[in-house]
Amino acid sequence: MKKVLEVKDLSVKIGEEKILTSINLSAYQGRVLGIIGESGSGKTMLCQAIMQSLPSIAQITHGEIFYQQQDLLKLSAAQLRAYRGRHLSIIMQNPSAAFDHIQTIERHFRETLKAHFVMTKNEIRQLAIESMSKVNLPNPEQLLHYYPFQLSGGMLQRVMIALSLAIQASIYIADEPTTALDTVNQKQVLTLFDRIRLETEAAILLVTHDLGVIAELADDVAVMYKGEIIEQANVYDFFDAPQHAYTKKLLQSRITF
Amino acid sequence: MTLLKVKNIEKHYAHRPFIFKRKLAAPALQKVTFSLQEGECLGIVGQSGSGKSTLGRIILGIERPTDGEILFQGVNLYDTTSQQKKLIRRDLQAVFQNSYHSFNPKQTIFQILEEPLLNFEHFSKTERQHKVKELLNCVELESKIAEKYPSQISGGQQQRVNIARALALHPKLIILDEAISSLDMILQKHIIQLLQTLQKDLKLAYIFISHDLQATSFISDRILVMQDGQLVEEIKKDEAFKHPASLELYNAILPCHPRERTNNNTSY
Repeated sequence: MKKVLEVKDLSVKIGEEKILTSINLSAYQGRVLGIIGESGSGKTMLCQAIMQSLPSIAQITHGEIFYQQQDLLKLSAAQLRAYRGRHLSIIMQNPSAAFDHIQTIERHFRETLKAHFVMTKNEIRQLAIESMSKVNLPNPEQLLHYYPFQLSGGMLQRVMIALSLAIQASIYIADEPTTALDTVNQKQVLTLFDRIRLETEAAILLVTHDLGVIAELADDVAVMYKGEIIEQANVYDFFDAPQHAYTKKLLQSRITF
Repeated sequence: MTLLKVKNIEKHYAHRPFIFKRKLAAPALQKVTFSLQEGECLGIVGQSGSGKSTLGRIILGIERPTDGEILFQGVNLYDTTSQQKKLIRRDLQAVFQNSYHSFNPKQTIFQILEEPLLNFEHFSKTERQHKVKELLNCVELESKIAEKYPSQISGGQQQRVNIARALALHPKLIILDEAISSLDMILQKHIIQLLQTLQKDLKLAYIFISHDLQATSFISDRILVMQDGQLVEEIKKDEAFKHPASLELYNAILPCHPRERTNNNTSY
């Protein structure tokens, strides 16, 4: 297994308050690392720290983030741009807030791809259609002319994934990608992630508060609680032999019928 | 006793409200008919866009149906005096998904919980303080939270304040529109248990609207499945789903354990 992302001893503070405390994580090619925790446990902060899009009041006080052999924290803003959005792609919780509603879907593809590649309009269009059909969006040619507000949340989330597919990202950071979707769409998006990691061998960081999502897709699980990772395990061990008291409580909270 | 009767509700939204052309779009609701007993918990499930929230809003009187009638304790909600309507409002409460947006951010939790009491009850200040404390207690919140503003408390606490506000006037029916969908799992379970206890203690009826079949089955006595604005199936507790729309929702339930994965093509 090839390690693509490694977070070493990462700490983040806002003022004097510790937001993340010595986080250690590794993401491997073709594997899904699930990060589970309740609201306020620092999951989103961790994603933002990896993407280095933390709010300006937050500071990384300690640690390293390696993408392959490169420490992302040591890069200048310009150097970082070559990685962010090209190798590391983020998929956020609220797809409709992540799009610009006065630009067509085609413009979104054009903007993203032009930032990283030299491509003609036609090539971009072809690639957009190709990646949108890979994520099972109906009529991709027509969709290019649509505006984000004309699409449903589930469709937008798939367009978002298609964008990441088009730039061939090697790490997908998916921050609660299905929380805003209904269950049927959620299932479709999760199935899609499963296919992507098999076909493209990308590493997926799947942040969620839902044990069902973990059970469906994750290979490894990290449990976050109050800014710390309190337990890391293979998904089977996580469900069968939880170590930490909080993990046990989490597993008991599952609603079954 | 029948608490609520929904008869042949239709709702159309004008597709293009253009001056000369008023096309009718596909109806948001079509011939929706059901009834609800006192103290019953009725679940309404369906995918986004199936019309479940519109139905909830029509029962609450936020939107007028294009056709059909709603009888709450025998009184037609859309054909009654404003005096009577006010009385119905008292017995009919709602909790929505986004709790923060249903508060006035400039009011403290105390003011939020006090408002329905000021509108409907003739309580003195001390009585109101006492009642607010009691309500917070009821949803397992500390009474010192009353001095805070909605932005200062967590999502789970906000949702509990919302439930407390809905309980303030001892309603007969609470409509829970995706009330727990935005909460994390530990809180979801907690709030569901809280709702069940309150239902028993206060003999409440709920309409639990959600896209999550699992949570809905857990709390409901009966489930209605909606698709494209129509009721397609009615299921009693522990009955099997038959309609394709219900099965689609059923199949989208995520596994409890990685062993039960459906698309398991990962090898170990």
